[in-house]
Amino acid sequence: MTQIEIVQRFYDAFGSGDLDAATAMFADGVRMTDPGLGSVKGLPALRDYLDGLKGPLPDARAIVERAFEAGDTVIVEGRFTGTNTGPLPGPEGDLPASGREVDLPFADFSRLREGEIVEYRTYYDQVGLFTQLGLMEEE
Amino acid sequence: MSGFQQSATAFVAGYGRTWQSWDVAGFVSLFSDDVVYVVDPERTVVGSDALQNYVREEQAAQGDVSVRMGNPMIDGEQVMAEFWVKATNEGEEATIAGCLIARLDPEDGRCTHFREYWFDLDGHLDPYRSWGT
Repeated sequence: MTQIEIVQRFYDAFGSGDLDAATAMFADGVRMTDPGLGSVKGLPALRDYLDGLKGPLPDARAIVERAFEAGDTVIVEGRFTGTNTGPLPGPEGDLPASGREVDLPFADFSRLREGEIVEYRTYYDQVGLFTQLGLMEEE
Repeated sequence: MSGFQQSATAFVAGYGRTWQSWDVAGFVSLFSDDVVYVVDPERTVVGSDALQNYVREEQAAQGDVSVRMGNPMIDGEQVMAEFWVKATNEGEEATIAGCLIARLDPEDGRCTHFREYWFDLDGHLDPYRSWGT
């Protein structure tokens, strides 16, 4: 399996809701960074992150539009889509599902070693996400 | 290092250098005259004049900046890199954490298509461990 295929398998498993299979693409000591949420290390923390996406957006999936391979790193451009049909955690407790749809461009950087993702960094439009979820006013 | 690798490395370095100094002319010179510069899904800047105006808008919004560029990553005619920017505008501190994906003209090394993704974060934050490598 090529490095791009390994990363694609992660997105496919995430989209189908098989988070065990999605997590299996990562190394035990993976470092995952989402600048909006910070940086965490290890599979349990990664699983918590993925659960946190699937909770409010059970049909969430990542659509790969372009994938590049530079040495040990795969860079993916795509769209993250989903429908807010689950409770959305907020600072003052869960917010009820809004039914709003999310469609956000993203770019991910995945570094691989021996067939596993050891580092994963994601960039997306955080303001766009909050706006599409109805948590921020449109400018 | 191949000629294209040199061009890609020079592009990423020049992008960071001209952003930090707000050298608008130098920044625009890194791009082709008809560049397609995608800021976000709602805004695409096309051509040198529009890019110059966009950069001036960003200069006014960001103020003084300290720019760090991650290592250039090359695949074919594409170069990718992360950026980490600490901005100070009228006392307001912010951090911009993002990345760029640029297609370069293999003949002259200028960028013909550009896409960026970024987060706006409050305060001055340092990059995460192993960021940009």
